[in-house]
Amino acid sequence: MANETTSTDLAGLVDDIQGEAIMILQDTAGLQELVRTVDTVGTPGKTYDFPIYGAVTSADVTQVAEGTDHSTNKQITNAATAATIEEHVIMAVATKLAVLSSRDDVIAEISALFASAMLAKMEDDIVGLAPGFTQTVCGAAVTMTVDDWYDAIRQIKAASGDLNQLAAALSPKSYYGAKGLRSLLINTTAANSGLFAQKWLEMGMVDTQFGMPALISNEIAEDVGSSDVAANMIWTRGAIGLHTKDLMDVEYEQDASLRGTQIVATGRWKQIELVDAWGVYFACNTD
Amino acid sequence: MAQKAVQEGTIEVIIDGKKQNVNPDDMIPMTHPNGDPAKVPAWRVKDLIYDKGYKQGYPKKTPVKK
Repeated sequence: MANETTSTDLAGLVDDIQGEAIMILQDTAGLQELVRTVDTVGTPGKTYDFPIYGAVTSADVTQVAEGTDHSTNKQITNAATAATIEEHVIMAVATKLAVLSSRDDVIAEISALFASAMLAKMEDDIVGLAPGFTQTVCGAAVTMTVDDWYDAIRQIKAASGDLNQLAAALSPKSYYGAKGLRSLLINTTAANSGLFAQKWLEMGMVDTQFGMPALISNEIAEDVGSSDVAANMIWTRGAIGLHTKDLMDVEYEQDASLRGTQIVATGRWKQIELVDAWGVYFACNTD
Repeated sequence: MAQKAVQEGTIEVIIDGKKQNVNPDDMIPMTHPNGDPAKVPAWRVKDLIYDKGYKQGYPKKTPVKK
């Protein structure tokens, strides 16, 4: 037979069904909670000084005999590390015709996309501090081992860092990859000889490793030097400071001659290294 | 990294032996004092060179994978 009337022939009557728009919001690891964060909204000034006392150690304490006048002062120092707010901006213009023609609230959805990107950028800035730590473990061409983790903890401990506030930020490959942490913990007999422990790891029932949360950040570079080196880090909270001033807002302005709405998202923060010895640069081979 | 830090002016750094003006948050190839490659934001380059002994550019010798 021929000349059947198909849906293609009736194209003018057959509409496309528009699905609900998918927003690819940027995944973040929540590092803001694990650094020393200060917000100064409402306080005049754009620079915050993070004060840091010089160390006073056991070697500064002297045993003296009864009745002996102790005459040596320990000079106490305090240096400040300044964090001056920087602005970060992303903007778009949605024409009035685009807004009126759209089924969804385009401006609200663009705002959500911008807010998500802004938080990812702040995380990107924080993990960008990793290579600046002088202390290191593992290495660019080296696969991570259990010893690397304990060596990082040892270095922070030696500098009197707070081991209760440790955290690790790893790239996705450094966690999930064949040479990543999960693989290391499951495959290393010495670290994990029991089947129960292995199953627990496989089922994702372990939130902390080596006494610290291992956070996976998409913002950590995996192409440092060559294509398969990741710039991870281990630190304790006081190693990094984050100064914010009303972290982020989104503003709208109508442009009559352009017949559109300008959408401007502004983030205000500055990330800074406070104590070098409380962080460790954990570059490792991932592939 | 869709956005760039908005600051007054740019920062002059040396990349591949040539002076270039870049945004403060552009990541610049450097060599860590231990010899590992490192990418650091441009605003830190000067401090890392003078305070911590970093060198500009990636290490010339490619590390052997282990």
